[in-house]
Amino acid sequence: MKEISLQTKQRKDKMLNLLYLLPMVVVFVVFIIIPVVSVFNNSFYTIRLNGSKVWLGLNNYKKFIGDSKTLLAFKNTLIWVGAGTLAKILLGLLMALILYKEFHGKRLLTGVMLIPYATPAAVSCMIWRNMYHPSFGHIGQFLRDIGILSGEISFLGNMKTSLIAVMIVNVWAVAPFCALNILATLYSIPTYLYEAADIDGANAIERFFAITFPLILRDVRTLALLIAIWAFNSFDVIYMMTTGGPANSSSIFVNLIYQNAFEFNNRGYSAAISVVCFILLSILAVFYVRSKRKDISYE
Amino acid sequence: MVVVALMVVLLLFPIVAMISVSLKEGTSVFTTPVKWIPERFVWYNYIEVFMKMDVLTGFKNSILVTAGSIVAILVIGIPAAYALSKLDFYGKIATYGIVLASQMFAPIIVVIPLYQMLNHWGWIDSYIGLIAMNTTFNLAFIVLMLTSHFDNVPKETMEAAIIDGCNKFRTLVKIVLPISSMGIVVAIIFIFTRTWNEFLFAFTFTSRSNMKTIIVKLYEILKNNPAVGIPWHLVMAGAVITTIPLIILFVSIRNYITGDATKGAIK
Repeated sequence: MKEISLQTKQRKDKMLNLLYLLPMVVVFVVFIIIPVVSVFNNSFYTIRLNGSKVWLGLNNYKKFIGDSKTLLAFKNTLIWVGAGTLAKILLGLLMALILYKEFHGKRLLTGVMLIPYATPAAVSCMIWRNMYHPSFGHIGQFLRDIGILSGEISFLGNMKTSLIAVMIVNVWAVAPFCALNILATLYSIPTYLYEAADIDGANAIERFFAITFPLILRDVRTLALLIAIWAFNSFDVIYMMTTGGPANSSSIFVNLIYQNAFEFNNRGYSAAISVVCFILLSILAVFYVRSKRKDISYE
Repeated sequence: MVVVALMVVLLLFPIVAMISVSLKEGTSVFTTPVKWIPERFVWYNYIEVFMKMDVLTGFKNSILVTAGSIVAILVIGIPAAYALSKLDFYGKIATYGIVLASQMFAPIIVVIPLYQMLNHWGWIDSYIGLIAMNTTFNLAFIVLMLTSHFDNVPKETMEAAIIDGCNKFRTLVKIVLPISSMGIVVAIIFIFTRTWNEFLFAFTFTSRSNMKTIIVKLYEILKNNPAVGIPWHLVMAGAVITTIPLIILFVSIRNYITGDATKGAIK
């Protein structure tokens, strides 16, 4: 008899504990789940300015597949997410390995690393737009001074360079953040492993590939996925640097969403692009959640 | 040592460029060759942009939105993180998965339905609207971060409190929160940074000048001038003013966050 009442009490507790989660669940349902459902719904309509809807079926998606901007944005998204993440992780790893050693001014340098991360995206975009200015910017001037460049280049106004130029800004802002994360992982490797390697007479490169690299791989992979997801979503940097131009040469998918919704007033079409992004992100999210679940131990 | 010096240069040269241009004379911004050190330091730029950007209104709006978001996220996030870390409930793994996954969903994907919804409620051009948006899209990150801090509170401490007659809520307030106070501080810093820097909602969900945050006001000096005539010295002075609160915050607490930076996100 007593056992049964204990069980019911536990069950009641399990229900009551849900109250702690209720506010969070309400926020997610109202501001994420309902809007996501509504985006799916909107993607099958054309939506007029007065709010009236006309059923289109899959036409928005057909338009998306046939649109010449789609291929360009797809290519740009791949470069922006793929190459950008690789650059951020590699530079972050390099900086973390430098910071791992003890030297004078290490604490100060760690503080300096936070500056690009703490700088608002709007501010770094202003700075870099000025530095990229063809005639009055510091970067053009520097390249002229060391003799690489003879004339003026409009880094942001040129279809060939605009995406790379914006990527550099993003890498500058995010790589130090990666470095600090990788550094925390490096510190979690027990030092006796390195001592053992020293006894075996391993050099620095052998040590890196035999010990450091395999042990940080999992964490770095999780970090890379998170960084990739952030990059996929980073509308603001590109918008503030080039508004996706010239001629969409620096637009990724999320820029198309904004452009169609707020500039062309194509809300249905914009919703269809959102759905495509949602599906692509879900794939990344599955990998991320799975990557996080596996806990590692160094012992 | 050379490598370290190079690293500092690469990290900081944009910041130096910002300060350099912010002190130049309006005319010398448009001269070549470009100089790093201004011929004459024009501190007046800061006063001029202070008026032009309406810095006081911008700061007021940013501070109100940021403070509101911090309160809302903590009030909603602390109980949720407590439940995820310490309590037993139905659907725990699913909830954890939902929190993790909702970190992925960028506001840009749902910006239109959110705009329509907030417009319907009269929340456009309001603090509550911006606070709701910032709360929603930072909540998952902060809950995960707090969960990993709460995980460090020993179970024995909590059991002792419960034996002493504390209920679960009192245990949270009296035991778990004081032990995790550092984690709460780090969470506040992160919410502060992300809300202060937020652009998409601040830009699209406000139209009245007296509701715009400092970030939007900064962007507008650049946007509202024709491309050839951007007053770079003023833009850069405005950029410095916008960043100062964050730089002060980060430099003063750098020792706490370097290790913790993304505890919730990564581990």
